[in-house]
Amino acid sequence: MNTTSTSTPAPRTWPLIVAGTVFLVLGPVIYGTQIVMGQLVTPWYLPAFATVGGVLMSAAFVRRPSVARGLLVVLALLPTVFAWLVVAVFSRTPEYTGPASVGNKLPAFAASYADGRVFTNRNVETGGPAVLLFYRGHW
Amino acid sequence: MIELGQLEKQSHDFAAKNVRIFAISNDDLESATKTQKQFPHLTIIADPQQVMAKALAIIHPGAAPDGTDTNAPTTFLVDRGEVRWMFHPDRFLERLPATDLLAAIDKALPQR
Repeated sequence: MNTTSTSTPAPRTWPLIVAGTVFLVLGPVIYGTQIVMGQLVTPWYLPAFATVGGVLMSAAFVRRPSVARGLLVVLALLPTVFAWLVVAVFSRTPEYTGPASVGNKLPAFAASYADGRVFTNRNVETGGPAVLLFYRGHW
Repeated sequence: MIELGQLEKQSHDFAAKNVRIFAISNDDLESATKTQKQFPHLTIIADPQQVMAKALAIIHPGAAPDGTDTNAPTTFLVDRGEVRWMFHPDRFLERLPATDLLAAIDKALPQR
């Protein structure tokens, strides 16, 4: 008796894993390029691309569950959650409600020049227009 | 400190408009001195106790990597002591390009 077994081939998942990896890596690569080019805009694409990467990894796991694919999903979700937290939550600055709004006089203040001399609002008020740029300093 | 590099690079454009640039952080004097050497055409201001930052209310609570308070990146254009224009992004990942600042100066101080 001649029997023929017809087993369904396991669904391919590597294209999903490769595409997911590309999306996960793409965001940081673009961000690095953006920094090198000195263009500092909010990188919403970072969490967006990471999410797409996570979804693709999850799709691979759903198609063909295994421990390895489950680990890949976890590894993809960690940077995704991190990117959303940094870009959407932690980087958010408080709305400006201070006294130095447009049309107002600068409040009195005192700080120091880099050589230790005292710097006050009077140094800004005289000597022509000035830009006061607050930056986050050295890390 | 990418923004400082851009401002230093275009410092001649600001000088041509007779606009001085003061860059303020909560770095101590030692760090400010190093930064001043790095960006000689800007005037670096040390505000380690954040007295100036508090006076202008640009503190970003707990936003430094070590969880302490730091400055929200904010830019004020001031003429004769009056604020003529300001830039306060809603996220610290965003910074003001030097070209945008030059354009804002032209718009806010058109007589120059």
